[in-house]
Amino acid sequence: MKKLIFTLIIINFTYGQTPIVPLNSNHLLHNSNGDYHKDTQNWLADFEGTWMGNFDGKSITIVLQKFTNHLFTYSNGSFCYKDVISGKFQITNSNGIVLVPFTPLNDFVSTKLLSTDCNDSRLILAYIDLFRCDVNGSVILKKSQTNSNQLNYFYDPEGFISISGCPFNATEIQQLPINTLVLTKQ
Amino acid sequence: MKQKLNYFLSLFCVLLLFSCSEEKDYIEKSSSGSLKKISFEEFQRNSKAMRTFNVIETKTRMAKSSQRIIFDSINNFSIDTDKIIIAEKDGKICYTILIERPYATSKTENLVLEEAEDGFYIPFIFSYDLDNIDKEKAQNHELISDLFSKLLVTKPEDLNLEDFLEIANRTTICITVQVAYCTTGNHNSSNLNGDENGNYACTAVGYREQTMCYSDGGGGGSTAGGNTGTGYTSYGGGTNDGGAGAYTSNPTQTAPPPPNNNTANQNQIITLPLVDLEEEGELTPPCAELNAKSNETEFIDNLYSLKLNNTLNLKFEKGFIETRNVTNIQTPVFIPKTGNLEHRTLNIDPSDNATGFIHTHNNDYYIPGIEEKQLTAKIFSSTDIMTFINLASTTTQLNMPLGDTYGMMVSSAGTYSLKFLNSNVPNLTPQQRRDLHYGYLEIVKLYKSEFPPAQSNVVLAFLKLLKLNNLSDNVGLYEASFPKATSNNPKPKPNWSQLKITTDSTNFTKIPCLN
Repeated sequence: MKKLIFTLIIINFTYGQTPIVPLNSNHLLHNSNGDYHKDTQNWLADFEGTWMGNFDGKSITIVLQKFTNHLFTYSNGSFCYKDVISGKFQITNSNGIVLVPFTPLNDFVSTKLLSTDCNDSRLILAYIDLFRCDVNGSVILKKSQTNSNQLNYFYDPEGFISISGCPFNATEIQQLPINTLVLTKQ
Repeated sequence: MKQKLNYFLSLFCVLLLFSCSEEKDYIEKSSSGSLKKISFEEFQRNSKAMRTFNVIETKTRMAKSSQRIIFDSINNFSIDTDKIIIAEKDGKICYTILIERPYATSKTENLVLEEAEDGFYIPFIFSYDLDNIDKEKAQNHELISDLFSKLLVTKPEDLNLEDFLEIANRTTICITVQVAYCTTGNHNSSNLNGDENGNYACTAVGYREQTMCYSDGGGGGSTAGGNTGTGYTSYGGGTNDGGAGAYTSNPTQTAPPPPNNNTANQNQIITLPLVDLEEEGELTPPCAELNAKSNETEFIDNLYSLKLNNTLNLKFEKGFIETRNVTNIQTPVFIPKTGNLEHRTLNIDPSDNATGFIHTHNNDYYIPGIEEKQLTAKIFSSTDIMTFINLASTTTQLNMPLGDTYGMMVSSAGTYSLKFLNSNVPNLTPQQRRDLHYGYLEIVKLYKSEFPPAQSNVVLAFLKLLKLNNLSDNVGLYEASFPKATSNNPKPKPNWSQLKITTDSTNFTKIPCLN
C-alpha cells in the first residue's frame, strides 16, 4: 500500500505537474515543451493598472492587466504557459476626441501589447498590430526612481511590412508615440 | 563559311510566315524519328548548332540566377540549358530550348534551331499563346487544339532583316513546321525524361504540320504575341489575329500563296512546345544561387560597404534592395535604403519590384530617461523574415524564378542569408505572424541575460523560431565566411554554408556549399 501511494506521488509529480521555470527563461533556447513561465516574484503586478501620459498635445492611456498561466501554442504543436501582461491603449487629442480607440485586452491574437521580459524595475512589451501591416516594435516601461506612481515610457519602433493593399503610408502607420514620456498611474 | 551561315540565317529565320496551308496530321512510328531531352553539354558537342547559338547569344553566362541559365541581353531572354529537346526525323535535327523572359508574360516561348542544308542551324522563336489546359497538354505531349492559331514564329532580334532581303531577293519563303505529339503509349509528364537513355517514351508520334510562309509587301500591322517592331507574322488556321511591323499577313487567307520559284519551302522544322511548368519543390539550389550572387561585383561592393558600416554608430538600418530590371535582368540594380526615426528597419515597398535585400541592423544605443541600452539582435528580425517571404510571394505572382529571392543581414557577429529551400512560399497565418514578432523579442532577450550572447545561441534561437512556426522546411539560413583579404584581393568573395537545426532542436549543423 505504501509502495502504491509512493508510486502515485511520483507519477503525479512526473506527469501531473507542469514544470515551472523563471518568468524570463528563454523559451527558444532553454525550455522544454509545456513549461510554465511563472511570475514567482510577482514582478508583473507592479505594472498593472491604468497609466496616462501626454505627448504632442495628445494623451495616451495605457491599461495593463496580468494574465496567469496563459497557454501559448505554436504552429508546429509546441506549447508553453506564461504569466503575461496584456495591454491596450487609447490616444485622444486635446479636445478629448478619441484618435486611437482601445482594443480588447483578452483577445491574445489581436492584442497590441504583450509582455516579453520583466524584472523588478522595468517591463518590456511587444507591440504588434496585425491590422496595420504588422507594424511592430517594443515598449519599455521603467519604474521612476523618484515617484512610485510613475513609469518612464520608451518605444523602439522596429518596422512594418509593406504589402500590396496596405492602406497606410509610412508616416501614419505608427500609432504609439515615439517620444520618451512619463506615465502616471490613475 | 560565315557568309554561308549568314545566308542561311537570313534566308530562313528572317522570313516569316503566314499561313499557306491547312493544318494536317499524320502519325508515324516513333522508330522513324526520336525526341529526347539532352543536356547542354550534349548540345555543345554539335559545333554547327553552337555556331548559330553563339550568333544569337551574347554568351553572358549569367550570375543572376544559376549556371544553368544563359542570358541574351539583345533578345532579352534567358535560356534554360536544363530544358533542351533534340528532335531527329528523316535525317534532320532540330533543337528546342525553353526561353524565359525577365518579365511577366503569358506566352510560352521556345528557341528552335532548325538544321538546314549543309548542317547549319537556323534559329526561330516560337511563341505559343497557351492557356493552362494547353500547357498541361504540352507537358503531357498531347495534341493542342488549334495549335497553329496559337503560334507566332519570329526571328531573334539580332538577325538583320535588311541583310537577308539583299541576299535573298525574294518575296515569299515558306517553311514546314511539324509539331510533335504523342498519339499512343505512355505520355505523361515524366516521359520527357524518358527511359534510361532519355528517349521520348511514345509508341507512336503524331505530327501536326503546317506550311508557313513569309511574304514581303504586306501593310503595317498590329503587334502580336508580345513581339513588336521587327517581328514577322505567322499564323495558321486562319485565326491568328495580327501581325507586326511591315510584314502583315492576311488572317482570312487560308490558301497557299502563289508559287514562287525562289520559295524555299523544303525546310522542315520538327519541334514540340516546351512549357515552363515548374515542378513542385523544384528550385535552383540556394548554394548555387548564393555562389552566383557572390560573383557579382556590385553585390560584393555593397556587402563590404555594409561590413564596414558595422563599425559606425548607426541609429537606423542601412542597406540596399536589389530590384528587377525588367529590361535587362543581367544587370542588377541596387538601391540604397535606410530606416528612419519612426521605423528603424528598411522598408521595401511592393512597387520597388525587389528580388532581395542586403542590410545591417542599427547599432545598440542608450535610451535617455530609461538608462538602459537598447540592444539589436545580430540576426534577422521578424520583419526581415516576413519581408523576405513577401518578396517571394511577389516573385511567384510574377512567374519569376523564386531562387533569385534573398534576404541578407550583415553584422559584426556574422553575415547571413535567407533562401528558399523549395518552391513552397508559406502563406503566414495571423498567429504565425504574431508568433514571429513575439519570438524575435525572445531572441533580443538573449542580449539582456548575457552580453554579448554566444552567436551560436542567437543562431540556434533563430532556427528554433523558424521551426516553431513551421518554416524550417521552406526557409533556409545560410552563413558567409570570408577569406582573408589581400592587397591583390581586398574583397574576397564569401564562402557560404547552410545552418540547419538538428532534429532535437538542441543544436545546429553547418553544411558548406560547394563552390
